[in-house]
Amino acid sequence: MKIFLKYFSIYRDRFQKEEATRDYPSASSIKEIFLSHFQEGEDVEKFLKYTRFAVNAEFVPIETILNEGDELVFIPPVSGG
Amino acid sequence: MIKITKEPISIEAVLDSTQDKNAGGYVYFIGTIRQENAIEGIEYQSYLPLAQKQMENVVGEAKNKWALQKVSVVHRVGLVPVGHAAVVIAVCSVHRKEAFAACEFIIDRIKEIVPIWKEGGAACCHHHQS
Repeated sequence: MKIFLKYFSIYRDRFQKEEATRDYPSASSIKEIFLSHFQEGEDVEKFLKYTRFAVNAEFVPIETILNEGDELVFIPPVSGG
Repeated sequence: MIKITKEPISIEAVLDSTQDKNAGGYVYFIGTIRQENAIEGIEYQSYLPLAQKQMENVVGEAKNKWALQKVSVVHRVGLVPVGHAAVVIAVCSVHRKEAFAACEFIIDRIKEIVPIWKEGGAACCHHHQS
């Protein structure tokens, strides 16, 4: 299934892009997709601790199963104002 | 008026939007970009659809906590040059106490829950109160 990803802040810096469209197996969870962005041995827990997730502009739990065409955004700590 | 914009914020328009004959106290907050380390400005990123919702939620929270007449919040994104406003908040209430408390609450909550990110420097804030 196709998933549209948008990256902001630390994730935009880390992945060097603002957005991407990627294919994932049906019924993939946010956690599976998030983890697929990291190399083995990287300290993913550090990122998981401070990241929230949004699907189609709504905050959702990391266990959420995605559907074809969903827009997934990793939300690191915000710093507006 | 609750919005996120890439355009310069018209402070006058934000303040005008809260004019209310029943209000006895107006509190304004203008967060600006200060000169620091020779930066030209600060680039703000935003996940717009969620940021707009969250801004509306913040205003909703404030209205639930205090009796407010009108509230306006505008946040600028993209490159905000030094000396320009990044965020403008205007609150009015029958008595000043509620407006002071709500204005501070709103800027604090924006910094906590609205998906907007700054890079390249630090924002400074000037309080404008009446």
